[in-house]
Amino acid sequence: MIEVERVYKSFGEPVLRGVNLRVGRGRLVGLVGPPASGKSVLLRIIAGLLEPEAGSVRVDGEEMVGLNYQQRGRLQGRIGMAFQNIALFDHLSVGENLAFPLRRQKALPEAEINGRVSAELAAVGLAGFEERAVQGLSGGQKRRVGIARAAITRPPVLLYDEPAAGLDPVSTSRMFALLVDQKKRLKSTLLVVSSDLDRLFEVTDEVAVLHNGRVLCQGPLGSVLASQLPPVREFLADVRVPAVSSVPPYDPDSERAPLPPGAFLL
Amino acid sequence: MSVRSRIGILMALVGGVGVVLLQALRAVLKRSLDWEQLEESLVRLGLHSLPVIFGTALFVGGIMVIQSAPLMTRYGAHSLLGWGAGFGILREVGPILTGLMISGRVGSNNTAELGTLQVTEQINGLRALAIDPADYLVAPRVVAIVLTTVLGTIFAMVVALCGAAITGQILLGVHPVTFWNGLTGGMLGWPDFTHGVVKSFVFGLVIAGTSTSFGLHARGGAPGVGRAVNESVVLSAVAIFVMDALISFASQGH
Repeated sequence: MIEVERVYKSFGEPVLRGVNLRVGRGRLVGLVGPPASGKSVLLRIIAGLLEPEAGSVRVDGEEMVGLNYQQRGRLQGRIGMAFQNIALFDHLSVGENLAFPLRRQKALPEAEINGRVSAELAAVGLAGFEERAVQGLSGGQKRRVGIARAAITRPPVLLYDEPAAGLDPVSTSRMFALLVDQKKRLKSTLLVVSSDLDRLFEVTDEVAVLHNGRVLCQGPLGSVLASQLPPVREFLADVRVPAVSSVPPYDPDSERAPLPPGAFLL
Repeated sequence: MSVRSRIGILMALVGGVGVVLLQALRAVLKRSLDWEQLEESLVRLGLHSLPVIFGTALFVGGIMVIQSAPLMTRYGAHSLLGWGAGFGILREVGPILTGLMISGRVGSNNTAELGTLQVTEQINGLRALAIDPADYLVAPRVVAIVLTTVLGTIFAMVVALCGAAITGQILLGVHPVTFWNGLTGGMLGWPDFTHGVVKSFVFGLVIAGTSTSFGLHARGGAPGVGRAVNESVVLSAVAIFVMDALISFASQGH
């Protein structure tokens, strides 16, 4: 569970101006808003990568703000995060990237680490990619490795910053299906920032709209779309309401399915 | 830019270097630094620098003799060749030469690597995985650079003295035993060697602190990394000469 209360952050100019947000246990919440509204900054504050100037951030009831480095590191162990620009470690292979946090924790024997790496790669449709170099992967494959690495320690909270950025529509659908699969499989709480509102809204339990450094409304998609607040109405004006989700259940084997002539995956 | 803001930038630079060195010291004292990374850094930054140090030190030792040969011949002071070369190499040339070589080769590489990790958010990636970059990235590199500078300086001293002895034999006909006697005849001692080693330790701290701090503070993509490398190498070189002057001055008993 994530609880954010009256969080303020500025970089010279105010970026977050008293943000309140609550993500219930096991929920998938989409955080949306216009560019430069503070979405990525909020995600980094929740992940403990930035310290807010004021406010409170609680992860599973434990306060993140004001902790020293060691205490924060312990709490960060409960959070997995995938970055917008992926941030895989270039000097490590795909398998080593996934195994890295587990090896650092020294909590599991090597055989179990390797087993978990293989399982997590298979879960994102990249079975057998352990020895591949990160530089040799496509953008979509890198994103899936990033998603798998964020979840490798089985954290109760997962934060995803634009997980489908730069992907084609087919890969985007698969990516969001993968997030739903992770939520069910790991029983994690997910907070997802995405600009692909149509796809995101098909998989979220709730939506929070961040505008000008404040969460203007949060709730089920229907109630957010019914909001009478002008910035929310303006931002969501072109969103189509998903009557039936077009995101299919995630199937790792679909990543290896033959593509129609002329099609390609990113 | 006002004097006040210039002073502010200077303080931020010094503060950044200080924080890096304190983080490394803390990791060493707590023994939390990553030993695999240290080993890898020692091989990549240290061992791979030896050929460059060897080549430059050998020729610099020779050049010192070539430059002093006319005076030595005029005054017939061939027996002082070992002392002259030793004095210059142990106290100045060894540490300065190695410091500048390490700054150019290892320091720039360190800034570029850390800068790239920074601008591609890989350092944030580490922190998001609850891994302290101070233990994994900073401390191993600082320790490796300091060790490389100190051990590289001792290696450079030996090689430069060999270069001077070989050149003295070829150019002036000074037998290596005469050269050795000049070197160990009592006019030079352990304090001269220690003086050079202390300088190399300080230069190592300067290079490690500056290159790591600039790398970690790189911003603005590839151009930002390039700027950080440039500024780091220039500042390291200036700081090496400033520290050299201060240590030399202090060691004279002023």
